Amino acid sequence: MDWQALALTLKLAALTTAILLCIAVPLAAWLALGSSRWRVLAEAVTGLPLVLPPTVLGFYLLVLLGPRTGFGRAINAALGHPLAFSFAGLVVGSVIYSLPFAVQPITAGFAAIDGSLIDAARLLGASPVRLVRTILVPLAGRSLLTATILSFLHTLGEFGVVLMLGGDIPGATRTLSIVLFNQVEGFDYTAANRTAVLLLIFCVLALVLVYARPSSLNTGSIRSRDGSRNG
Amino acid sequence: MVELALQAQRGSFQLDIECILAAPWTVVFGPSGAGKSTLLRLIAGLNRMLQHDAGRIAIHGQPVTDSATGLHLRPGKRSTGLVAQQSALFPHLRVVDNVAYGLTDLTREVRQQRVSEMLELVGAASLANRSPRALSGGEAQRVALARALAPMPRLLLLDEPLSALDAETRDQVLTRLQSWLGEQKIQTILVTHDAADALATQAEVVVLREGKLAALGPAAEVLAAERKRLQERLGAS
Repeated sequence: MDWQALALTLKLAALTTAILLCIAVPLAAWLALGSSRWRVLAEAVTGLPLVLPPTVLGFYLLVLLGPRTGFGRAINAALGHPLAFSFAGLVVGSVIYSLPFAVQPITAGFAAIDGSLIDAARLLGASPVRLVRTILVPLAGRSLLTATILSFLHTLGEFGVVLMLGGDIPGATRTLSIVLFNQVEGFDYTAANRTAVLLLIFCVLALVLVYARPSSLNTGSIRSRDGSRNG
Repeated sequence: MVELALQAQRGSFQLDIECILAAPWTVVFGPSGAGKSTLLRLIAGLNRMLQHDAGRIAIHGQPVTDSATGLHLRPGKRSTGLVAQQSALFPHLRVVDNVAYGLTDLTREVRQQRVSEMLELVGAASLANRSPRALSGGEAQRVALARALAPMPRLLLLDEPLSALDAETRDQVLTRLQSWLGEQKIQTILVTHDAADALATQAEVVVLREGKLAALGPAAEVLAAERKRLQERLGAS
């Protein structure tokens, strides 16, 4: 077992998930509750990684972050090294690639919250930030859990973007998916099986968590004792 | 005082109202679909004026909506409380935390005192530590009322807020509420289907029909005219 690759993969998935949640919560709130005409375009762009082949996304990111573009040169100057073929580059690629897996469940969760609760909070003076923090996030708990797990898993099993943008540098960009690919390419099916089983176990455990539906999460609408809806 | 001059199109429905509501209590009557709730939501700022709407709303002399200048003061800045039939209590917060939600500017002690006062006012002091899930419809409506009153709004909008209460409890709450609102000088606009509410509160009455202002005046006068109109219609049919 390549423990170094396992540690790197988990680090990449955890970091990507944390960054994604920071981006996805405000973005999802805007998509679910906003009325801007740019919303549709934002939704389409956010969902693009769902349909775009990972290699295409990886290729464009490689070009964008490379020395041929002004953006890539600026990043290079700022960091002192190119983002492509580095762990930081993988994080950037993973965040973009997994964005819809975080944004879409959270948007659906926010949109499902009873509008009268949001109206009540606005009337009581809640700013957009307070509305998100005190009403939307607590009431969309299950959607946030789903987004967290899906983002983590999607990053864990990422291959195309990692290979295009990061290559195969041990300790920097070699993740479990790359290790698995190398093992299969080297006809080491016993090792490949171990790696694949490990990834499979991660995925099954995480999906069990998603489908366990903790009763304390998602309470966007309730029924009172006498059966009438309270919110 | 609420000044209204509104021409708002909502699908096939046209709200066309121009009036000044100056009485401490105003009761808005009208059949379903007459525009009563839309009117309250426009006053509260929960509904925005759309592209082809025209009009102006001022609360106690302060413009809060003006289509000519594009003004739309956000709901929390209008010092307006709204309680609807659906109590909309935050299900993840206890009753006390629901009532305290709009009191962020107060110190902890003052906030606690205000919450207790409001729960006492609506006869819900014993519910303070309950979850909204554990409340009956009537209890939830009373807590929602306490929550809307806690920030001491200048204007209180009530959209059939006590419909889940039995007649006796509703009369008690309404009487206590009216006296307290009078002391605090909080103007109230109440949407109801119950003529007794209007008569009991000595309110000024607004009758809305198909989005238009059909009558405005003292409760006894307007209700008598409405009764006569209905009798004539029933006689004619």
